[in-house]
Amino acid sequence: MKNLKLKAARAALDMSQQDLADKVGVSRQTINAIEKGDYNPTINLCRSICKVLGKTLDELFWEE
Amino acid sequence: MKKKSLLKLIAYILIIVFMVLAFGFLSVGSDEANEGYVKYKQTVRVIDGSVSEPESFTPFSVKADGNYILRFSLLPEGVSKDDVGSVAVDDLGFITTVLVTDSSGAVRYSSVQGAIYLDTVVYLEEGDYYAGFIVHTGREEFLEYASENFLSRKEAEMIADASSFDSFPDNTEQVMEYEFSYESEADNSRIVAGIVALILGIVLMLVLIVREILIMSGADVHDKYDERQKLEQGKGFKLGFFTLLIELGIVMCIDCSGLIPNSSAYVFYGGALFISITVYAVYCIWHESYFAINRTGKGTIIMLAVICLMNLLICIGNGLSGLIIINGVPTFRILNVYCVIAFLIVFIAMILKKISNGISESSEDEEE
Repeated sequence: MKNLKLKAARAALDMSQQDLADKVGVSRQTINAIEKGDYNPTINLCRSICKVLGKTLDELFWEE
Repeated sequence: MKKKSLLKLIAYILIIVFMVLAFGFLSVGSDEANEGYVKYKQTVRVIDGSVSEPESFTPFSVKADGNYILRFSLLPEGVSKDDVGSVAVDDLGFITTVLVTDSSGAVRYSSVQGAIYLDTVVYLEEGDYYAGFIVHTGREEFLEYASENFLSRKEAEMIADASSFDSFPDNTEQVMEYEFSYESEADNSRIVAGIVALILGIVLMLVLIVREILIMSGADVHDKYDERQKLEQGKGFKLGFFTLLIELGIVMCIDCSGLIPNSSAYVFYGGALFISITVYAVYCIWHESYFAINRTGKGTIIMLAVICLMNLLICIGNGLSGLIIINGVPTFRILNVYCVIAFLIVFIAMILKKISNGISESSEDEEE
């Protein structure tokens, strides 16, 4: 399932996938895979992404 | 960390010393090489149309089954092998049959030449053989001998038509220098392979030593893979492993069936290994887990290209020499062919992935 919240949060900060990947310490393809729903990140990676984007886990990764 | 790196450094240096000692010991302690060499002069003298000492045979023995490099040199005295092919050397007025026969008299190799310097590879079983030179100064005598011993009448006539028997008058003589040598291709190749392996091993150890020194000085040289990449690499290893298992099962059935006799183990088992490695590499490339996130990949691509090119040059050399497939049986040199094919597949996978990424990125840009 696509993670549109992540994509929207990233776009709101005018960040490319590469920028977010560099700040989080993963590859661009990993961010792409998370946004497409092809990969479920570990809790540590989720927390790192939330910290960079200034959002909570619920706001980015909770399914509604 | 520094103590660990220092211990690794000492270990790598000891490995280099061990490799050099092991190579030296194996070289000195190895069995006497399976080779031999004969050189003698023969005066070809024709008196009243007959050749004095028309033939000579030299016995030799091979100690093990395998491919042997046979070298023949049939040159007029004072002529070097670089002059072979010139009109004066070719038109001697007689021809020489070169024969290799086994102890039962069966012909294992034959060739009819004027002046020649040639190498050939022949498969020989362990046993006794004879290498012979038979001089023919007359067309009919040659046709009779050749068609009775190793050629059909038609083949003998073709050779006789292409040869010159006119310019060697009676009561003249020509001194020829005949040389014959043989060596086991395996012995030759083993020494070469050993030297190459030793050099590569030392280079690898030196690279590791330099890496440890850099780590000790605080440089960050480790490849970094993120969690998704490590997961995909694990899946790739599993896929490669099961591919290898299936291949080995098939290969063992073929090997035990004897469908392809005298085949080298490298051909099948080496092929299975290369296929499984290629499967792993292509899987990782397609799932973006081949290159570390802190690497651009250029160094790796250059290294792969260099290795591929080296193997390609070796394949071309071996192919032109006819050493990859001998008597219809692939030799261990087929491994170089596998290497080239595997690396080309890896490069194609990289290119296709790059194109695929380009297409998906442009479609994502359109969506945004």
